[in-house]
Amino acid sequence: MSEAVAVEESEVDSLRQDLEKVKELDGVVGYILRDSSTAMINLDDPKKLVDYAILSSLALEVGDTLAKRLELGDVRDITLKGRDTKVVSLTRNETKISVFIDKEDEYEKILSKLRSLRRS
Amino acid sequence: MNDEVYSFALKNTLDEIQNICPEMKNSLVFKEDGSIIARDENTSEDLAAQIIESFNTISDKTDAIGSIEGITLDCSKGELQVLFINELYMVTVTTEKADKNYVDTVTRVLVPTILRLLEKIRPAPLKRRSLPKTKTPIPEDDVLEEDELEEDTEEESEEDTKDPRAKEDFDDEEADNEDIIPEPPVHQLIVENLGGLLVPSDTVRMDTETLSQWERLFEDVKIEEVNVETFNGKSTRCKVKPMKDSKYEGKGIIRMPEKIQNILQIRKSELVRVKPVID
Repeated sequence: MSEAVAVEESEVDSLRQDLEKVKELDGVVGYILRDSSTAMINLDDPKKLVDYAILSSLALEVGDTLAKRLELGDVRDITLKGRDTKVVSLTRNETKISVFIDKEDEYEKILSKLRSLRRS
Repeated sequence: MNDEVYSFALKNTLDEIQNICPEMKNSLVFKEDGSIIARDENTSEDLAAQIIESFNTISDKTDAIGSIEGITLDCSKGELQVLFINELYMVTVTTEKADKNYVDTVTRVLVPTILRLLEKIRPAPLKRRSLPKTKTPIPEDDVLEEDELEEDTEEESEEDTKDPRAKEDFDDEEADNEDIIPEPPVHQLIVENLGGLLVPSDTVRMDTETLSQWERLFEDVKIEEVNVETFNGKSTRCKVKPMKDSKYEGKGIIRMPEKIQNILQIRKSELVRVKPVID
């Protein structure tokens, strides 16, 4: 039992380390990583934490609903394109990840990085 | 053209898009207030309502990221895209077999063109006119070619004579909009290479006629810079000069040095949106 918990912790920790590297990329203004018991947050503007957290949770929820209704299979990721910021949200196992990007030019590069991170 | 005919024309467009893109499962166009403008044959009213409701659930919470301009939902068996086009939202649902570039090209080029055309022949457009046609030039977001402008003027004159209500509406609109500054017109142009030893890397070249039209539109303000935007959302501001080589004139071309193409991540023959920068 304790071993299983250790594995889970290690996976979240490993994801956090990967996201810290993503956070260093130009255009990334923060990330939120959370599973059923923990949440790790790194945002340039902590004042936006609540709004960002609500939005990223909502995005995944709505994504799941739409994917089921439209028979699109499993959700890989969902991107919300705001006028100022883009939010990419995805789930890896039970861990939910959202990354916030404020540079249009860097979006594709960051998305591709996140997709490869998910597969690793 | 009334709302019903407008919707009918748009629905036909969506059906035709589906014919040329069989991998498109559903398509739908709706307004910001949630009302459906058109949906294709495969999209039931119930399904459309659910999609719009989901969209609204998200858009109600997007203050922190600026107003919502699009959503991409990437799934194992396909993709849903919501695009913001001409103040309308367009939803497309494609299967995993769809050629994304092809679908993107069709939806991002064809649909805006159709919407603009429909608005031009529609007396009460979805979009508010930004200017009266006589006091200050060009009421539209986008500029017509000169011959189209002449046609439109004739058409509108005829409409005014036939339908006094239309004229009254237009007069009201005119009065409301007297003080509004014209929005920069947008042109869709094809990229052509521009190279040579003495060619500045920060300057694009465009039709002399288009530049003159813009200058007339903005009451003889000299247009020295333009904003160029790709259909992938990348944009840059650069200097502009008239084309020297007449063989490129009047062909809907923008000549662009390699450096700017690299910034925009585009190549020759691709389509871009260009509008003048008015400081």
